[in-house]
Amino acid sequence: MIIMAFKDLLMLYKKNRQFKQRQIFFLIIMVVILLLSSIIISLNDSIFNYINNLTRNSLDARTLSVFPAPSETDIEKLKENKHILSINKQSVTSFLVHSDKFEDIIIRPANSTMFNNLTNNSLICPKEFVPKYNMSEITKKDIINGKEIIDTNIKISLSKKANDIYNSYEKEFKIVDTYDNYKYMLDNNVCLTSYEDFNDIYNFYYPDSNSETYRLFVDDVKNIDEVSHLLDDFGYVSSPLLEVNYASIIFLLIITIVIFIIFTILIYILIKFNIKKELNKKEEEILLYKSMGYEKRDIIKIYTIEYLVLCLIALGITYFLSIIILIIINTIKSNYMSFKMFSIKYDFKEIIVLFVIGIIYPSIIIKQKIKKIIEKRKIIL
Amino acid sequence: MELKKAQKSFWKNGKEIKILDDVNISFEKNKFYLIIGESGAGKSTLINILGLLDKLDAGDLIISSKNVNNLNDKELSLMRLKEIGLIFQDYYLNPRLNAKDNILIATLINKDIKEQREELIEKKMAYLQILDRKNHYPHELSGGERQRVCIARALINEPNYILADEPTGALDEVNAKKVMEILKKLSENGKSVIMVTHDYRNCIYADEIYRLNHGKLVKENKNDFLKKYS
Repeated sequence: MIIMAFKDLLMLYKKNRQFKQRQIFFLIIMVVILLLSSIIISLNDSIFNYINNLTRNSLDARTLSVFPAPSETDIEKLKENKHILSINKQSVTSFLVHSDKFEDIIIRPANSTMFNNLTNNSLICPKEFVPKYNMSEITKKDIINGKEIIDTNIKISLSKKANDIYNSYEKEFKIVDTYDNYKYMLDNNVCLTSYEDFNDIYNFYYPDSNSETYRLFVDDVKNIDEVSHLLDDFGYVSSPLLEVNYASIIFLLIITIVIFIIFTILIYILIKFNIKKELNKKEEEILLYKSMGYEKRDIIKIYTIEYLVLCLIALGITYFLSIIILIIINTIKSNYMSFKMFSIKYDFKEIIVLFVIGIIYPSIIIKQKIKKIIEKRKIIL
Repeated sequence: MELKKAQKSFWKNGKEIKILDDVNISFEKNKFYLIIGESGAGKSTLINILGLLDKLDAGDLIISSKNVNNLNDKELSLMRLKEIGLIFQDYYLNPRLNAKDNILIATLINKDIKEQREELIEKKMAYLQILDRKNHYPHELSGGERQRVCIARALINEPNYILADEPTGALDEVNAKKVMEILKKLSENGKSVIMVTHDYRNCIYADEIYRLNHGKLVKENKNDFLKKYS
């Protein structure tokens, strides 16, 4: 059996290697292909991570609106269910209030099981606190470090009409803790308070309201359906505050997969076209190896190593450029708080996909093409 | 090396062109065989078949008592390495490798000479009078030198059969003579040299002359042939 030693293979590569226009062209094509793939995968991942976070962690996705108002007995029975964290009377989700020490804050009720520091007259504010109404224009400079304002007493006020200082609601709160608002997909201006305090504000704002809407807070978004069925059994109608349209998500997922498959097929064709063109030019050289007694697999190795080195260089350049692009994007993104929840990362999956496109694809193509050349019955030498 | 009832044909414009039609021939060691024929007679196809680069449609090719029809790809590769050395009209030297490395590539798969590679290459180059050109690239060599590098590459694994396809076709008279003398010497030193050509001037070196015409391989009388063409 004839086997070419790896040392000889490397030696032949070293002596035989070329880095001319054709190789540079191939390298550029590979870098462009790999970089495009990397960007597509990153964006795709980011969109799905965002949707995933939104559906799993958002407080609204875990909150059910219940109608009509449950009786006291039913509330007690419902509370026995392990997935139900709390049931509270609440008609609106949040209030925009003004504070004496900061600008505008959004107040919304939170569950004391999740935030155990949450007692009456207390607030839990974001770690990166931005007490402003309009969140679309905020930048990094507007951030207040949440830890610095812990134990601060603030007076909040709320008016039914603009500038109505006589009929405004006022109450003093103590900021007792901070929370990660990105984790719960909440804006940087949202402070959490207890249901009692929240209802106090609600009763001031809607003194004559006879709304009997209750909000039921579930431990995990995956248990929403189970709790909904339980409420059905009790004879109540329920609907989540944030309804996740899974059909749209699946549709989006299918579209992404289809686009990705088409994209990878196009990449395969492009790499194949390029390698085929190159190897066709080397047909005589390949057949010469055959005439000297080289086995098919040795000839494949000789040409695969030639391309693999180029592909590895292309992969290296792509990884480097991807990291640079990522740093630039994240630097720009970090200045705009509204993009904070949209994370663009570079993960292992991406490295694997790029490896498949950059190494496995060319190897398969080279193998197929060389086999085809070698197995030609008619050889014109 | 022996061809038995060998058949090979091509189809062109719906018409069958016979290259080998029931050909029987035996090539022995220590002999120089010259196969002549007009362009398109199938001389190169015959060399490709004998060099195990093409297959017969029917019949047998026996090399060193082995019928090549019964050999798998690996065994065929081994036979190409050990038994056959090919010399081409267009040399087929790798332009990226110098003369020495062009010979070296033929040795990389031969474990038997792994340790003596360098020594053997230099010996062969010295024998063919191209040692001083070992570090030169093909474009820096003359036609005759390139052909001698090609011969050295064909000889380096010490094959029993040297197959030459118009080896003097691209050479001037002086270099052509040198190459023919080398091939003649090889046949005298135990090799079987089979050369195809359309240049009748080379017949003076041959021990046996055959004409390939319409698929038939006919032995020519050397004396008559020499009288007629030399």
